This record gives sequence, C-alpha cells and structure tokens, in this order.
Amino acid sequence: MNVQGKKHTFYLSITLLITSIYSYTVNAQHKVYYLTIKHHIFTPATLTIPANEKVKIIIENKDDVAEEFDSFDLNREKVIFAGKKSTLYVGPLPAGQYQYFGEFHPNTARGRIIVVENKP
Amino acid sequence: MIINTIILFLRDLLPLFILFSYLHVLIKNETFGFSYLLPSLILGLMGSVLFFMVAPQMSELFEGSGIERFYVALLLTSYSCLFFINTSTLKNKRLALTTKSIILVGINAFVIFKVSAFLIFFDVYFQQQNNTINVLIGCIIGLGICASFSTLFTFILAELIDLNKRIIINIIWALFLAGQITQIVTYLSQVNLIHVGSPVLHLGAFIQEASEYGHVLKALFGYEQSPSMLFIIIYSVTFAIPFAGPFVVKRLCTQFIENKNDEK
Repeated sequence: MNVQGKKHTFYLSITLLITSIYSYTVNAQHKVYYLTIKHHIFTPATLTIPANEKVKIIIENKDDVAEEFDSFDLNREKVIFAGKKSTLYVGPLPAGQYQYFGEFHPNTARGRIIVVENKP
Repeated sequence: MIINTIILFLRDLLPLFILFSYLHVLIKNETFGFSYLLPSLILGLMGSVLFFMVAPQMSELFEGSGIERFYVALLLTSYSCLFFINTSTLKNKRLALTTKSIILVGINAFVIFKVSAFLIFFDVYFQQQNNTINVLIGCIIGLGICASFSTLFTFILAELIDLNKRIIINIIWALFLAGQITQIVTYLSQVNLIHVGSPVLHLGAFIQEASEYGHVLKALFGYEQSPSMLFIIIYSVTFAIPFAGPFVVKRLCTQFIENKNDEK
C-alpha cells in the first residue's frame, strides 16, 4: 500500500471509530426516570433503578430558586435552575443504595437511589 | 446553613486560593509579578457574572448539556494554558508577551469555572432573606479558612523552594492540575457524552469525599472516592504532562516562555 493509501485507511479508521463511539452514545436507549423538586424536596425521594445499566434521570425544578443535585456516592453534581428541567445519566452501578441531596437545601432536599439486580 | 456555606467555600473557592498560592511561588520574575494576576482575577470575576446571567438559558442548550460542555471547555483551556509552568519557570527571568497572555487566559478560565458556581449559590441564599446572617457568618468563616490555608500553603511551597525540594512542588502542582482537569470525566459522563463504566476502587472507607478532609484533598489533588478506570487513566496522563513536559521539551519551553527581546 502506498503512502496515500495508508493515509486514506487511517482517516477511514478514525472516522469509523468516531462514528461507532457517537452511535453508541447517541443511539443507546436508556430507561428514563423522573424527579421533581418542589418546596426544596425531591419527589419521589426514592428511585429504584436496575443494576449494571445506565439510566436517564430527568429532574424538574418547580421552585423559584436553583437547586443542585449532588451525590458523592454517584459522583454527580448538576445545577437545576428555577423552573427548568435537566437531564442526568447515572450508572452502570452495582446493586446498593446511593444517597443524593440538594446542595443548596441539604436539610430538606434528600433522597436515595436504590439499585437492584432484578429489573423493577 | 453555616456549615453548608463553609463546605461550598471549600469546594468552589479553595482550589482557586490554592492556584494562586502556586502561581505566587512559581511565577516570580522581572516581567510578570503577582500584581499581574489582579487584572486577570477581575476579568475572571466579570466573566463569571456574565456566565451567571446566561447560565439558565445555557443549561438548556445541547439537550441539557450546555453547562457541562462550557465547564469542560473552561477546564481544558485552563489546563492547556497552565501545564507548562513548574519550578523550571523560575529560571526564566523574563516572560514573553505570548506566555504572559496564555497564563492570564488560563487563570481567567479557572476563575470563571469556580466563581460562577459560587454565584449561583449566592443567588439562591440571598433570595431567602431569613438565611442572610447565617450565610454571611459562613462566608466570613469560609473565607478565613481559605485565606489561612492559602497563606500556610504558600509558606510551605516557598520553604520547599528554599530547601531545593523543587521536585516535590512539581509533583503536587501536577497532581493539582490533573485533579482539576479530570473533573471533565464527571461532566461528560453525567450528560452521556462519554461512557465511564463502574468504579474500580472504593476509597470511601478511608476518606469520605463529603468529609472536611475529603474536600481539602479534592481541592489539592482532585481526590475521588470511587474512581473509574477512565478517571485513573486520564488522571495519570494529565499528571504526567505537566510533570514531565517542561523537562522533556526544556529547550523548546525555554524559547517559548522566555523572550530576550520582549520588553520589560
């Protein structure tokens, strides 16, 4: 193979690699769960999700101030602005309990995610 | 409320104080003193206010990943503008104008990244009038802790230089930069732009990330209680670059950093 051919193969490989990563990320279907923040409380306070699977959590903030979804167990922190919705992905996780809280109102905004082996 | 305010200071502002401690020690020469950092800090604060104003709208861009993408851009900018600094920079008597500009851009990006998160917090607390006193007390204590820590840390760094233990500074500086840049893993994975996988280590039994020690270690070295393999790889690579880079390309760096013709 000449130099030009090698170049083309290289570019093709890179393109295929990027495309496959992109397709994996974009096309992967994730289960969707919903959380609502109202009066600085997460509802539902407990979410049950399947183990070893990435899931999508849509959080809606119905308060008139921002809140930050924060979890050291899940290694996640995301600000949800007043009256806005935000999307967060968690997992894949082993079975167990994972605590989360609202950074700006930690006394009231608390919850947990229970990860179970059997799909809920 | 007071404790929560202090924790937010440790989380958001302590890394900024630590960065300034490093810069105070690592950049000392005829053309770029610590006083040059003040305009950069002011510009960074202005940028933070601007970001704070558009943040709610930005959060809805790119299917809700606008803020994360912006944070990643800021972190990459600050890392790429600061990684070439280490104790070898002290040998440069004068810095080229380009180098000074790059350093200032790096500082700006870092200030915007850290301070903007803090402004959101302030906005929330000052809207709740009943918490104002507690928040103010928390701010004073938090600021006191950060300033004391930074002063002590600067003193330790200066002592290490006097004792000719520069290698230690290079290591902890590289760990600091790696700790900051690896936050992109969290930001990208939480909006599904990269796949991280399960944690491979659980260090929570030793030091909880939520504890005071955890916050300080996070600010100093980017401590993560449950790191994934991707996190560890990126951390290692981003540690190696600022640690080894300035030595490996010493000649190139010297030419780049120092410009004999540049005016004072």
